[in-house]
Amino acid sequence: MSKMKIKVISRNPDDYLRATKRDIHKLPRNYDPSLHPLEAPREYVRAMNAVKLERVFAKPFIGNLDGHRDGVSSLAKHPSRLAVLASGAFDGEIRLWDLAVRKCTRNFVAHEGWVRALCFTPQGDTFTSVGDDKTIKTWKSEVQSSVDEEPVNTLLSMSVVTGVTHHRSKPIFATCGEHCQLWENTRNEPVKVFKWGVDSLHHVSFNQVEQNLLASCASDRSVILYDCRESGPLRKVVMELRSNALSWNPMEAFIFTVANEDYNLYTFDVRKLKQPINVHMGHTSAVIDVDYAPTGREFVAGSYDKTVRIFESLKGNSRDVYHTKRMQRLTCVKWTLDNKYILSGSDEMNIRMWKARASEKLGVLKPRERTALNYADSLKEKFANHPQVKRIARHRHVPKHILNAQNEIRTIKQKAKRKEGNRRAHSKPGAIPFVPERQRHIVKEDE
Amino acid sequence: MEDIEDTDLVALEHDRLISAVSKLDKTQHITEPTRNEPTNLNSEFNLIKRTNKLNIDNVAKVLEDTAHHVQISKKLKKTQSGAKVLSKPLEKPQAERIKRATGYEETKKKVGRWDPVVARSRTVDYVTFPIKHVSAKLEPTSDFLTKFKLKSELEKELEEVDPQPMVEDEEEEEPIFPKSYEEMVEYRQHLAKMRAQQSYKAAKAKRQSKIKSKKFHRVLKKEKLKQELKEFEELQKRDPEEALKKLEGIEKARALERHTLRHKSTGKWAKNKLIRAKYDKEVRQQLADQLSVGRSLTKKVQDNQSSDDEGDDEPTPNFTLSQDPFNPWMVQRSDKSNINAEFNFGYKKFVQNKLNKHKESDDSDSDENDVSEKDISNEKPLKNEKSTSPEPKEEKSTVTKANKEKTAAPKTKKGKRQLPAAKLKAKKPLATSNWDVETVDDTDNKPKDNLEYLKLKKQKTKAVIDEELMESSSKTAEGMANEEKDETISELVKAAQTPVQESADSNIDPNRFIEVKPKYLNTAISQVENEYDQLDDDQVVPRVNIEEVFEEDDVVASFRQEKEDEINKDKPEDINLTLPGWGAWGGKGVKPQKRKKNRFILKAPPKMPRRDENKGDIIIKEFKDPKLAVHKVKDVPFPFESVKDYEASIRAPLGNTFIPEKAHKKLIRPSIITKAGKIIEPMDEEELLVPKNRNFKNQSVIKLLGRKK
Repeated sequence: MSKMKIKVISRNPDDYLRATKRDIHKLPRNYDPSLHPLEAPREYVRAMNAVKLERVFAKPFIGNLDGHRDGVSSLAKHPSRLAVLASGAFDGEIRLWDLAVRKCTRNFVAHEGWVRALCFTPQGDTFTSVGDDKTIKTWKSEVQSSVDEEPVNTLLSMSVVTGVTHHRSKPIFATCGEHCQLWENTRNEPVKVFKWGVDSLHHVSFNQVEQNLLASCASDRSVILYDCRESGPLRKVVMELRSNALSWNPMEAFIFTVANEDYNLYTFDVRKLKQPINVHMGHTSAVIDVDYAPTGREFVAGSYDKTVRIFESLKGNSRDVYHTKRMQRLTCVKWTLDNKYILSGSDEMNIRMWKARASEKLGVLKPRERTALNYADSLKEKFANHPQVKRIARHRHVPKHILNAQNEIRTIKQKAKRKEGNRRAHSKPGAIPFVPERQRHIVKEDE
Repeated sequence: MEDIEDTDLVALEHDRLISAVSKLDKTQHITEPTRNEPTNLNSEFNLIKRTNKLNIDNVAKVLEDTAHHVQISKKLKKTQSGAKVLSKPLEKPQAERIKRATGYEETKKKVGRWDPVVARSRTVDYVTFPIKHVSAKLEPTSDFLTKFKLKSELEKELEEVDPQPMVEDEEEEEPIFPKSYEEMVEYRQHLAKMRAQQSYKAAKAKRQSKIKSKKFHRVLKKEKLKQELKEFEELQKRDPEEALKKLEGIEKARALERHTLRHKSTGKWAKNKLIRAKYDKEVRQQLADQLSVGRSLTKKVQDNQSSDDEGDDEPTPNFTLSQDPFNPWMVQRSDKSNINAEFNFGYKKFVQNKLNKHKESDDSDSDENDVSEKDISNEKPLKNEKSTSPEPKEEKSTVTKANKEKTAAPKTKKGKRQLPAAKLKAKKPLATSNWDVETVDDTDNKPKDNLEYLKLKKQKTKAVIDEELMESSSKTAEGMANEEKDETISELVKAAQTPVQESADSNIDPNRFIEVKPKYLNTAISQVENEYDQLDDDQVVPRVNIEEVFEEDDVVASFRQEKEDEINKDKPEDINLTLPGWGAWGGKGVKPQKRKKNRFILKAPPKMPRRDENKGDIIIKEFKDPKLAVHKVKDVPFPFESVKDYEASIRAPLGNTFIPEKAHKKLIRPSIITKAGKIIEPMDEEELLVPKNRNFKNQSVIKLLGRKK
């Protein structure tokens, strides 16, 4: 062996000519795993980079819609147009917004006193508002002439109406207040009145899948289930503190989530009301509003602690928390129907737009870009349990008051736990039972 | 008449009397209310009492007087006795409660219909929103009719002026005898002539094909080519479109050429030539010609005109490239299949086959192990899995087949679909399988915990992280960042301070060389593969002197330097604590006493021998790097049951650097796919009827969802 010849990579350049300018350069690869002994570490590094980049790009705040002269009390999203949003304020004004250009398209004073709730009809041509002046008004969504600016229909109720929700397909809607009432668009009196012992209800919501079911939150700390046909009220579950709002899962007919005063959210299965299937914790003050994502996998909650939290419907802890310095107490939150944005209305007269996924890139994605992002996402998922990846992915900055409140809650919880432990230690075995967290917040289920 | 009037008068008087008497009585009498307004709210006080009710007894009494009516009265009495008095209705609250309870049961049942839909959407790997379904509805008649247009007046008039020719598509009736006698004879003769000519041509072609003279064939081919070229040129003038089609034919020829080995150096002829090529220039030329033919044929058509010319001309070999038959890309295309084909001969082929077989069986074994483990880990494994056939040999074959299926389609839907069939075959005691079989939980035994909602087994297991966000206020974060910054700064400073190592001498020391064996990192990939690889290397590349290979950079020196650094890094050093001027005069020109200097030097402890001290060119790191520990996972995350499973999930690569593009695309598909700007409608009732939802038979999941509390 005089002169050793080593085979080096040498390729015919003709084979590697691109057919067009836009073609990808051909990269010959050998997929033999024994040639890539370090593939897992390499992917780990990529995952680390991806998760760092995710946090770098996590800028969820898009913009705000200002114009209201009092706190925003309620929001309603148009069922078929993504850019249309209706908002009501505490001074009785209703505004319609074009989200794409972030402009107010129309504003008018609808009620004396506070606009309690708004809802669009399923066709989207009209919307209904209820206010403190005991009226239920129906308005046109689009104004063609000056006649359209007047309400299409005004119904007078005997008592204050605090909530309104529309049936998904039939021309009926439900309101709540003193009782849960069912109205038909053409009648001046309620078609049906459901009473069950309570004298004030503050939120009502129709199930969008099993269309005849509706549920309401009552001031006696209960959540009541109704059937809008023959049977009327079905069941009631009483909790420790009152529930503020309720949202049905749009993909799973029997799941709904309530936002509770005790800083938690509870997800229930209609068939098992004795205990919630999940308790979602994280807020440090009363949760005011909740809305499901149209995919039914996640929901957003707005709280009195000035933050918006996003939860996954099967997990107990929040996935993300949004806050800005100027955002005050949240009054209403909505998740847009394309699963991309979150809208929040708050005390300080602004409506804010957020991205549902904080680091998502907006706009058109080229295929290669999308592939790269998907790859990054799946890498993050794959290495999610590695401590460094987890640390970066789950770290959030929150305002100091939240942190302090969290510490306070933690100490309170620890105190309660210690006390319970002590009592258990010093009493007869079995005298103080272990109550799981899920059962702790439910007082009773009424038939 | 008077009588009647009298009685009327009496009655009037009587009424007055009664009213007067009743007025004496102080009690209030409620007048009968009347309903005059239709409402759906009825007060219980507003109900009308039936006071003047017909009493059947009285009626019967009247009837009894006459014998004629005895029968009827009896009947009446019978009905009276048969009638039952309805029981008093329940109290309102009670009745309502019952109504609510029944209503709730009904809704529960109704809502339960959604179980399979929900279970499916929670367990499948990815869901696309909005959920679309193709409507099976036909077009409504009205819509269909709108497609027909009425002709306007103008159109009608125009048509009258210039009537469109009617398209006659009537078929001509075939006569019973289509041809006359003469015609038939002529036709037959024509046919016979054709056949004869055909046979002549066939015979000629056969004869020609048997001619062994190469020159003859070459000439023939050239002629043919010329002919074709002429024809093509003519065609180009006459009918450019047709010419274009011909060009496509050339493209096809190129495709054909690309997948044959005809003009490659792999044939017997080429191999023989290759041997002689070393000594014979002419042979080399021939080989190059041959290869250039292949090249020209596989060349992409760039320009119509030029490519035609090239294709038809005698191939002009590109001497700069094709002169040397040893040029690797001239010898063969850098195609993996080719490489294999070239090196697969003789005993090597045998070895490789054997290894392959071994690997396959090994794989199947490991799969079986996996399954059995899974089964053990589950509390109540389903026993009715696919039963094995009695002969072990056959079983093996089925197993490998199943494996292949798995590798072909990583989603195990196939297996699931076959599950019912497998169930039928159940109850055979020997049951091994490599299918994913869903476990059925025993509802009574399990603790009633709703955490099970999370346990819905996804087909693709991923770690579930349900933890609090690590929240901090900005101040603390800044502090952390500062710390980090400090660290990095200090590192930078350190890096700057260390003197840059001077590059090693470019002259190579002939004494310094390393004998290198191919070495493999400790991967979890089975050793078999590595062995195979080693063998392959030995075959293809003979033993290499590493120094020779990397002539440019001095690997050996740099490695030794690295080792020295490593040794020095750990070596404890003496600490000098002398303070010049302490207890003596100091300053310029004053040397501290040697005794004093020695007194204040803290001697480093004796150096422990390193493990790699006398082992030559090897570095053994004796301490764990604390920086690495930060990156290590402490415990097995939730859905995984063993370290092995989790490791396997980490080991499986996702990137297209490591796996083929298609697999890569499949693996990185997000679990929820939405379309930008598309409204996602809530679940529709039609989803219940979609076959994929109806056929979702994952009973365990459905049971989990629908379990009553």
